[in-house]
Amino acid sequence: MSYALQRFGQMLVIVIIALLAVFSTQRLAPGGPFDGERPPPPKILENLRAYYDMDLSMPAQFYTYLFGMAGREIGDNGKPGKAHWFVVPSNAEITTLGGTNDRSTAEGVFVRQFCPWDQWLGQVIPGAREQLREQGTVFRKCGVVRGDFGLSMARRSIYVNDYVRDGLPATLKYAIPSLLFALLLGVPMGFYAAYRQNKPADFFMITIGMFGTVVPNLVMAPLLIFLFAVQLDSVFHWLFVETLEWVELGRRQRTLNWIPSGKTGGVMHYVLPTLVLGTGLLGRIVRLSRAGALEALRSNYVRTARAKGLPAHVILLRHVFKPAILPVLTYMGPVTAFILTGSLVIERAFSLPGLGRQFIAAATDRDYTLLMGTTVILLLAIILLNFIVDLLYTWLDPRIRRGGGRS
Amino acid sequence: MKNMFLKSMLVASTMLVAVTAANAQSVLNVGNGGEPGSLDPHQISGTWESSIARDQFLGLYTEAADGSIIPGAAESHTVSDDGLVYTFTLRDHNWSDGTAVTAGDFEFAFKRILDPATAASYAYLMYTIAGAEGFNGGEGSMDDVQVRAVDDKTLEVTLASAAPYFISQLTHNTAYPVPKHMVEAMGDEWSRPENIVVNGAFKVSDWTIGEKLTLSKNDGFYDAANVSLDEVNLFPIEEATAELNLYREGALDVTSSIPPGDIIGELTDEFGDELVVTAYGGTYYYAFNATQAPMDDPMIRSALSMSIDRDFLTTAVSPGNVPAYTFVPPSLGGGYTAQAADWAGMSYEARVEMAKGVLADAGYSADNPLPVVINYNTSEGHKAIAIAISDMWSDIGVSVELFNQDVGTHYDGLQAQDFQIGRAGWIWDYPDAENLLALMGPNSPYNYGKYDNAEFNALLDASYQQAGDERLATMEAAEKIAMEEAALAPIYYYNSKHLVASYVDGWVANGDDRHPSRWISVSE
Repeated sequence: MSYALQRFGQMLVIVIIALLAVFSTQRLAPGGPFDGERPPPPKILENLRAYYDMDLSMPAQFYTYLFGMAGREIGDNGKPGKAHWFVVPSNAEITTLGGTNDRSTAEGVFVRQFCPWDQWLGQVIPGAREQLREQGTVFRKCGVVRGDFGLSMARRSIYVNDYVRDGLPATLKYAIPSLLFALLLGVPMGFYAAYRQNKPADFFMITIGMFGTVVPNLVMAPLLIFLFAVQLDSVFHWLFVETLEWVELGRRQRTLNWIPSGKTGGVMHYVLPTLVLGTGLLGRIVRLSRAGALEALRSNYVRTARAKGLPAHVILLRHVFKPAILPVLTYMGPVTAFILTGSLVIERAFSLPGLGRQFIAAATDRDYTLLMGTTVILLLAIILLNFIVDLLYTWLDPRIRRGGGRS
Repeated sequence: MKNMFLKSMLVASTMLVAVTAANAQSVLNVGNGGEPGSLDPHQISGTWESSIARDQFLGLYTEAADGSIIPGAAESHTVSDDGLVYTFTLRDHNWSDGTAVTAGDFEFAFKRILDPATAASYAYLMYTIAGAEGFNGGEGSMDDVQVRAVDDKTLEVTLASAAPYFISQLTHNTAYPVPKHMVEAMGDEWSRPENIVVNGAFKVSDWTIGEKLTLSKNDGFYDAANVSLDEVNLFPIEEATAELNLYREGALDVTSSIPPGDIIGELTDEFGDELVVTAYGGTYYYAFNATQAPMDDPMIRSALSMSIDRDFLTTAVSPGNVPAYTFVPPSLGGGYTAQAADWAGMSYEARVEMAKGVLADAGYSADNPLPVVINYNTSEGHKAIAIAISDMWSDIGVSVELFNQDVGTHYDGLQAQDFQIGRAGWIWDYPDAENLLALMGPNSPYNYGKYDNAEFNALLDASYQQAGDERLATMEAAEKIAMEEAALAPIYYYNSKHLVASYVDGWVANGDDRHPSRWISVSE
């Protein structure tokens, strides 16, 4: 438990350092979020900078980004402006950020718009919402600590939270099948290669695996597009449309739907991105599971099992699997990083609507808030998975458990 | 077992119903070219955003299918004799929540976009209205803005100076109404998809960022009976090749563009009439920084401009575009005749000789070339053109260095006059020569090179006080001066290039590249 806490503390420090690094580098880089083909006139630029609180000092901007900013008093003109609260008639049904409904209580009250974190609290803890309304600070900006990553700068009405809500599932939709593809294919390949060590089958497995690893995603994507969508299109057309009749072409359709291009629908759309991301991982998984299996195969209990004359699949599944899978499991942390960075490439190559794509767009648009938000989310995903793997690992292999004294 | 069978039958029949229902709908799938940043017509700037706003909101005036201006929320208007006071009579129509659209909504909207707190990046388009610039710049108050709802159906707008293009400005999203009752209740949240209230033919019904935005027919639209489409799906795809793939797959009915480069020939063969190329409101040009020597010399600028072989650029380097010798595209129409410099009529060889002479007089030659730097924003297309032009200029005794930056930094540099020669482009906001000519005048923040010619400025100034043919002639004279002096070097006119499926009706190619979905239908 103390180990988990210690790791959690480290995670927090890493996140804050990363945020500080992104925050300062993006502001040092030339250009800004409001530049573009037609940058706004100076007066308008001033208005925009005030709107995003960029007129504050750098440390103040960073502080408010993290911890939020209390709401300003409503003006004499009664305008709610940009605040996270607004005036509503009594008993009006209103929809707040995140889509939860709340009801005002008296004539002309300021109804707070709950920060994402508060909304979540309000849903899970009975009575929390009423208490928050009574006592909570009114926030103009909620801050990262309350689960609000702010308003995008390049896209005026979209919250970074919206991007994450829509982008993360789209990224995972491709990341998970790729991982499954690499594991379900790579682990048996590695085991078999180990079983047939130094035989042609071994070399064959390793060669296939390494091919995907040495060819970068960046190259693999156009290569596969060329192969599937151009060179082999007529073959697949003949196979899927004419012979098997699995696919029915639309009224003006000329090609098969190999390339997702902004949509995440249909089985066909998964084929190429999964292949690109999956083959990139395959080589490492084959090698790791092969190495693990080799070690296990050399152990005494396996020799005994072999001597008893047990069939190969029984030996591999019953005696080799668990110890041999450990190196692969250790690798799952880096794999997350690989898949997420790989998704930057495939989302670009296949025009997928994922978070990686928004990350790149944010960097080129100098969308400070979106870049910070996507960085944190990707970072958290990587750190969290590493964390889980570490915990799993200590559980699977008691030899690495810490805190019980040194061995 | 029986239960399983029943269940699967039920599922199958539900799916069948769903499929039939989907078929009965009339749906258009459009490549929109980018992800909208907002649904609020005051908070947008991209064409991919205004296309959505155009479907959701009805301005006082609006576009017919061919882009011509027709009455929208206004039934009619009158103009005072001095051209300053416009009085609009609104038609009876409602917001999508049933509330009546009133002149008060328009007054509220016009003042809201100008409010510095709204921080609308396009607010300057409304500076035509008296008191607008002061208020938006933080010097005046909201009450100074001369927009007044006389009653629910009558709106009175007083302009800062006569602007014959005011009616065409009203078709722009900056002049769309917003529902006062909603904005006052919800602040900036009013335009979120779950809250938004519109007065146009369509209303957003679903939006997954990065994937698609769906507009559904607004049955409360005043002319809903003549709207054929039930749904419009807008795909925010930036890569033209991805759009092309989807078009080939049949997943898009209209694309926002086609891939750049020489693919245009192949596409013509493949798609025939479905490839629609139209002159489109703007010019690709090079700005000269007139605040520094040697670009402050009109002769040097002219020599550089005349030695650009625009025919070569538009056939070999950037095919599918039209060579430009004027800043105002001739496709503008409205009676304006675009003015080129006199050398535009000469052969390219003669122009090169002339340019060589000018540079020789200034002391430059192949042995002692004039060093210049071309700044461009990073893009394969811009790079190819810059390389071709530097090759052309090397023939007349100019040595060129190329300097590329990302788009934001590039335009930052242009606005700070931190460049010598810079690539730029302009698409008109409203179809009037003034919108382009003002870029060479003293008040535009987009006069990157700070071109400053007293005669030009005087003519431009005078044109604001004039009307009709007199005004056109003044503006033509101004453009003539600017082109003779090579205030900037126009290179080519923009084209809009779309793939439009043959079964899409009512999509009419036009110079503004505006295609309201209310006029479009899909035939089976």
